[in-house]
Amino acid sequence: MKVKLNGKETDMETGTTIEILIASRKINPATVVVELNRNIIEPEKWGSFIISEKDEIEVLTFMGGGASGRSI
Amino acid sequence: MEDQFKIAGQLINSRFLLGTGKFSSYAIMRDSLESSQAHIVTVALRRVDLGQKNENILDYIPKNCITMTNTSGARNAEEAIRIARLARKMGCGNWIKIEVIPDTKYLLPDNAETIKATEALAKEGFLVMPYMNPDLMDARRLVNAGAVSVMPLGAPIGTNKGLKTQEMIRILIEEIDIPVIVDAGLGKPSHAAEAMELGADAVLVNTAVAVAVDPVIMAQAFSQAVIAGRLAYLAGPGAVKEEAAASSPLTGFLR
Repeated sequence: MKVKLNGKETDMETGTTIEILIASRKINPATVVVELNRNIIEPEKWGSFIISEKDEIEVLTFMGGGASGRSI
Repeated sequence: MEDQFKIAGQLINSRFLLGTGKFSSYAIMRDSLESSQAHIVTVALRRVDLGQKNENILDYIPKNCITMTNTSGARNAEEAIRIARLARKMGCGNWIKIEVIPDTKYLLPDNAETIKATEALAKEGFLVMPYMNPDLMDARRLVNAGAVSVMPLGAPIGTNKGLKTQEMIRILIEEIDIPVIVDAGLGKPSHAAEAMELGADAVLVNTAVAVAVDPVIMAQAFSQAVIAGRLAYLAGPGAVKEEAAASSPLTGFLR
C-alpha cells in the first residue's frame, strides 16, 4: 500500500504499525515524535496503531536551529 | 550587586541565549554551548532523515540548559501551534519560541499571526517567547496574550548587521514590563553589548557564533560582552557632551 511518510510517497506492507515502522527504520524511539494524519500519537500507542493506505505520517526530531527554514 | 534575571518567575543563569543552528558539527556546537554558559538554548523540530542514522542533538546539549524549541518553518499561527504541540511531546518542557515567518527574503516575522499563536499556546500552558518586529502596540498585545518575554529583532535573521532597530527596541525596553530579549541580526559581541547597555534583559544569538572561524571562542566573547553591557547599564553611563571635559585636574601644572 502507498502512504505518505515525511512528505514522500512510500510503499509499506499492509498491517505495519507505527512501532514496526520506527523499529524498521532504526530510529531511536526516544528521540522522535510521531504524527498520523495530523494527530500526535503517544509512544505507548505506537504498537496498536496500524497504518492504513494513504495515511500521512510525520516522524520528527530536534535539530540545530536558531531561526527560519521550513520544517513540516 | 545582585542582578537576577527571571523569565516567568524562573531564575535564568545567563542573559546570553544561544541558538544551535548552522554549526559545522554537534561537537563544536556542544563546546560552544559550554563556553557561552548559555542557560536557554534553542532547537528546531524537523523531519527525521529516514535514509541515514540520526544523531540526537539533545546528547550534545549540557544537562543544565533549558531546551526551547522554536517554531521555525511556521508561516502562520496554525502551523506554529502545530509545531509547538509536537515539540512539547519531545519532553523538554513548556518553553516555546514562536517564530511565524511568511517572508522568505528578509525572514521578517508576522506580528499579527504571532499574537494569535501566543494567545493560543499561553492558554495551553506554554511559556511563550515570541520573535517579533519591534512595534510597541504589538508588544503590548503580546503581553496581553500571555507572552513571558518579547524577542524583538535587531536586524533580519543571519545578517550580522547589528542593532538596526535600536530606537524601537529602546521604546520597548522603556514601556514593556516583561523581559525584552533582542534576537536576530547581532553580528559581533559589540552589538550584543550595545543592546545590553540600552537596557535589554538578554540577547539571543546564533549565526554570528556558529559561522565564526572559531565558534567556541566567539561564544565566550559574546557571553562576556553581554555581561559587560549589562554591568554598564546598571552602572549608568555618563552624559554625552559636545565639548571636551578634562579628566585630569586643571590646576597644579608643571610649567
